[in-house]
Amino acid sequence: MNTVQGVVKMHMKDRVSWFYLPWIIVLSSFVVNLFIAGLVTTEDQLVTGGLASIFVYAMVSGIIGVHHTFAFALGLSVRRRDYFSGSMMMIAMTSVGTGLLLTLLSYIEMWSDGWGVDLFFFHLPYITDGNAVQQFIVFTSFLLFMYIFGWGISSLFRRFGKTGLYTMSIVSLLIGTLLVYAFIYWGWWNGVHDFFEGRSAFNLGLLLLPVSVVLSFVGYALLRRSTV
Amino acid sequence: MNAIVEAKRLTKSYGSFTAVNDVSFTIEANKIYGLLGRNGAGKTTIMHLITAQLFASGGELLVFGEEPFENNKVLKQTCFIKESQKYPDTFRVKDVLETAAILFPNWDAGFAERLVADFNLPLKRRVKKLSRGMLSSVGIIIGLASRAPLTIFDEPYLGLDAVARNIFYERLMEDYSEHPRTVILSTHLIDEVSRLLEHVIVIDGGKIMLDEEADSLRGRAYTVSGPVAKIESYMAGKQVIHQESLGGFKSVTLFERLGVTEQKQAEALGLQFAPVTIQQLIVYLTNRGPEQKGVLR
Amino acid sequence: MGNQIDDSRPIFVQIAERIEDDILEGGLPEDSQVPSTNQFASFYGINPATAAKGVNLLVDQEILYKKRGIGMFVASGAKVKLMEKRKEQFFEQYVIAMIREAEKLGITKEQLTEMIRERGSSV
Repeated sequence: MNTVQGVVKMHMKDRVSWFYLPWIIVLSSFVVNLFIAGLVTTEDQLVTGGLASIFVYAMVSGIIGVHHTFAFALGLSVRRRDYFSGSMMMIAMTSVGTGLLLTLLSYIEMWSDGWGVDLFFFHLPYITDGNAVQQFIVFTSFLLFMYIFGWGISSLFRRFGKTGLYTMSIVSLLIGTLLVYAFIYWGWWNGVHDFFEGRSAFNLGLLLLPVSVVLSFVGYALLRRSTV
Repeated sequence: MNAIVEAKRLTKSYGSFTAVNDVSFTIEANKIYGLLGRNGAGKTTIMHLITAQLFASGGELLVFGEEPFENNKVLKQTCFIKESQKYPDTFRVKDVLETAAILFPNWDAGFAERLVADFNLPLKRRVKKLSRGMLSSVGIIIGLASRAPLTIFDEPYLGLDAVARNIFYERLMEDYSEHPRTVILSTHLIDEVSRLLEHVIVIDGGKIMLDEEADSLRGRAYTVSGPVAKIESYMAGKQVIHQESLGGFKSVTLFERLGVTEQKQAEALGLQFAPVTIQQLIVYLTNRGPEQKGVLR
Repeated sequence: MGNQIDDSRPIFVQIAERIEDDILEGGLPEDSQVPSTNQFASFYGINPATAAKGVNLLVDQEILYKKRGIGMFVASGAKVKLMEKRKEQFFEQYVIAMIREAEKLGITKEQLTEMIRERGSSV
């Protein structure tokens, strides 16, 4: 067996973090909403943002994942590159699997008129405007991005420790603030508005894919020089 | 001789602190090495460098004839068990061993199973919930069952009692006899392991102090005691590594081989002899003040 | 583990002596097979390479000989050869020491021989 597959298998041992936990979080949020929707007897649809929890979870999982498995994998004589490839494969597989399930649930929700109680938890305006393939890509791409974003943060921590994280937070805060002022000063908001205006979630999802790829390689570059 | 590890002028520094200072040594195939020294001497750093978990600041390091960094040919033949090894929080003992089984090409599942029984390890328990001793035995099982051509144990038995340590020594020697491989064992319990070692490398202050066959260290030094005046005339011109005195009585440890003539000469003076074990020898050698730390002959 | 091996002298020397004792006491007659290196290693809890060194020391002295693929055997005439060697050692280690001690106590060589003849016979 090659090492990359081995790393994937290592991640798969942790079904709780990769599979059970995100779905427990999403489904419990869903059940609560279902209950509320059942109680509310108005004619209005109940549209909730509970689904955001799975994306937030993906980021947290990305952070914790590297933290827990990097030192372990290196301790078992795994190359950093193989750790990276295997982890990316696992993240991609999980995102695709979760994306498929979310798309399916979105369709069931649509067909069942919000589970019979007008609850819209998975089938959301804007996010699931497109067809099945487009919905799948939106879900998967955003999940992928969140996982890799978390992974990147954790890699930064592995490479430069707390100092790295603090420095990065301060630097991003500064840049962010400066950018906001620049936007206000030069009136760039129109440009931002134009960028998002008329762009579908699908379109944004596609744009996010190369961003995720670049981010993942930044993470790799950091891990390559990380020690345990 | 077939060299498994070749370090030439290897150096690792952290800012102004030099953990490993211009160290050169060779690890030969299918021998059991003891990498000994005090805490902070640089042993762990050297082992991390060999396994590419740390990066050298200078010098050359070849493992299986190649640079170890990101080198699967090297890493797949290496297993490094360290006291500070981290395991994923959610993993059970079973998950850890199964992962090791996937990642080490020579893994012997039957052997691992027997070791689990030997150490009474609960397979279903989360690694996080294991006692310190049990955690150590997880490492030991991985180190033994992986049968890596280069196996490195860094203080593998924190929290293990004497019985469990003995199981480790016995299994290590049995398996080593059947499947010879290169083993580097770093430990403070020198007395316990000295007989298992074929070669000893002593690190002190980031430098190599001693690099010798273990057996040649037995009888390499001796303690002689008697009246102060007699001892002082006897020790003149000899390498003293330790001395204490009580009233008119003095006892010195000499880093000299005790030949028949020396023994006769000393016995004629009415002096008493005591052998020095490898552990005592290393304690004396690494416990000297800087002014005494000359190069040993 | 660790039967009667001490850390004050090289272990390979002690292994060689152990085999020699066995030959002298008749435990290992001529042409009988000597335990393997691994057997020595596990019995005494020592490194097999060290045990091998002890065995090879005796091969060099032609006390033992090697049958390829089978193992080590006691050479013919080994016992006599060892007795000669040990007699020499006996003189150096015991007789000389005894004479020195006797001199210190003012015992003459004649008194010493007398002592051995008269009172040593009952030992």
